[in-house]
Amino acid sequence: MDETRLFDLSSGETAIIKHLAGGQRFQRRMAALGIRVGKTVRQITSQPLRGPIVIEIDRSLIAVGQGMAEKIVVEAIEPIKKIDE
Amino acid sequence: MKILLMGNPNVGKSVIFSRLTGINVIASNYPGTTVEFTKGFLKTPELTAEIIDVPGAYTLSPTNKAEEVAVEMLNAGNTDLVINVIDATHLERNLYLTLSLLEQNIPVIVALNIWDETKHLGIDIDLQKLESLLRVPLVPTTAVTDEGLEELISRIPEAKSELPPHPPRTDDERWAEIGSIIKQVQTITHRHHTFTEKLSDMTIKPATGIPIAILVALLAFALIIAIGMGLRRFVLLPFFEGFIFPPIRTGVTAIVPEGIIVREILIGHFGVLIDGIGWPLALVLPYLLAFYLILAILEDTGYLSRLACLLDILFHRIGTHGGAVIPFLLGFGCTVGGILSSRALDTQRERIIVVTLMCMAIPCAAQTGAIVALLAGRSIPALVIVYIIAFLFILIAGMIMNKLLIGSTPTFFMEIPTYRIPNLRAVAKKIWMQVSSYLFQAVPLIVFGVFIAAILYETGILYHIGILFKPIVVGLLGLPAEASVGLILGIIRRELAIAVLLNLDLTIVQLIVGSIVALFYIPCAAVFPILIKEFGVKYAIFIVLSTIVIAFIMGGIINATFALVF
Repeated sequence: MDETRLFDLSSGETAIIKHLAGGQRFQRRMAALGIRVGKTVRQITSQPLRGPIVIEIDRSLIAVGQGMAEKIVVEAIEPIKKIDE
Repeated sequence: MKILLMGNPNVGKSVIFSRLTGINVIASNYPGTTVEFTKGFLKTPELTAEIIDVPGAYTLSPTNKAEEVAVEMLNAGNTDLVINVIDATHLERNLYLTLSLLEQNIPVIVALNIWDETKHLGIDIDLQKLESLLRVPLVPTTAVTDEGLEELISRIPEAKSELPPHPPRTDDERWAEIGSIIKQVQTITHRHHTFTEKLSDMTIKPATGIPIAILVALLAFALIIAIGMGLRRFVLLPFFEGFIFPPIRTGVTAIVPEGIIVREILIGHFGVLIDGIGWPLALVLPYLLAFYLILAILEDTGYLSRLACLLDILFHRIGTHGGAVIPFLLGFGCTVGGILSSRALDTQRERIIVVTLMCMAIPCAAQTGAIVALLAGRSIPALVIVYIIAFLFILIAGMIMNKLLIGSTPTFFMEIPTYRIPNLRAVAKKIWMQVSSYLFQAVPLIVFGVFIAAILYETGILYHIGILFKPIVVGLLGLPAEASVGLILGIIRRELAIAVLLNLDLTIVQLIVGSIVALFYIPCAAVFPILIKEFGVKYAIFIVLSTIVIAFIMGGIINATFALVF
């Protein structure tokens, strides 16, 4: 199945987290910073040369390295144009 | 009564701790400042309590060293009460630890910190509702301005555990409950993008962020040197040369007759009352002040986490990740501080790499002061060459260690905190803490070092040591035999190995070689107890031997290269 992962998102794209492909320890580390199934994330930017991806979730910025971003399965949602942007 | 201050990283526990106990602890705007617990006492007419500032933890099932410490403290058993500090601007994920703590059957009181920020961010929290849902006392606080702390203290007696006792929930149950709490107490109103958010975007997006990072690094470096040099040249040197040293010279000359060795030890070459005062106070202190001022600003604004994110790729090449930027930077202040801060890294392998590089090639602020004093007046390019050599060494040695050491590099995963304007009082306090520990712990050692140098010099022992080390110091490194005294003093303090060179008449090449040897040479005596405690005796011995060997090899190569080229 062709799944979208966190690192597939491009700048400004919004998505919903569908699945965290990792063990309990991984799930807990993610949850600690608010990365949980069902949450909406917005990709802010990604660093070059496969560097970390920066996402916004619940008004926090979080940098996620590639190794972890690969394990976060998301579903992109249509970008909703915000009024103030 | 024993109280633990617990909460997620970077929610302001250390600020609350300082305010409650009057004990200064370092607080910064990045997760993981506190890597070891600090104890203090809270005394009010009603109660006396021991308060412990516990390292930040997201969960009670440890995922790193700091969380292990936190859980150990909680399980130690004799805790009467936990003050759970939570970040009001990130209520949802902070409540996970709160629920876990409530399941522990220990009385809890919640400090809803960073309360002032919620208004700006359009977050509205129904305090009464939240308190009734958690069933423990809840007090909104803004620790940096002392708001709410009195109420927090006055409500400590009301703290209680979850009643009736709740059996430990599963993760899913906790999140479900948190979801329901959030739905009932929190409303978020939409608001316009603020200036700090725009700044945040600019500094994290690579296209603008990388140029800004380079600019910030150059600016920080230039400012430290400019402030340090300015203070030294225009304030401290004139002060000591004008008002302190002349009366000392006159006094000693009047009291101690010429020809007696004591006179030379006091005011001669390496005079304890001249260099013993001038080196620590006029040479090192200005750079220490300048460094910690700049570091405090970088720390408290929240910029360091952004720098960590931008540099992550580079750090991966040397077997660690962006998070290592913090211990490295602290190492530029004091190697001991850098080593302690490396505890926040995920694996022992990373810590070994970072600490080894730090002991070898990262000059502490004191040594930077000495290097700048030695080189900047003579040749700025020489100063730049020394730092470039150190940087290249870190890169290459790091890459080699990354290849040699078994294990993999963990992935970077870090919250990037909101920008905050540094609190002036907090910055001043932080600088004073560093400076006072320097004045009371390091300065006596420097004076002692100068005293040893004076004795060795005046008794002629230095001459014999010089002959002993001649093949290395003169033969390999091309330095005058007297420079060997630096190799002895360098064991005591990093900057002494350099300061010794100030009293010699050296060529530019000799200055560069001398600085490089002193930089790579053994870190100061204070580092070894920490190395042994954190990594064991074997590793400490490895550091001693490898730093000596590498210092001589690097110095030899540079000396030979310059001899060939020029």
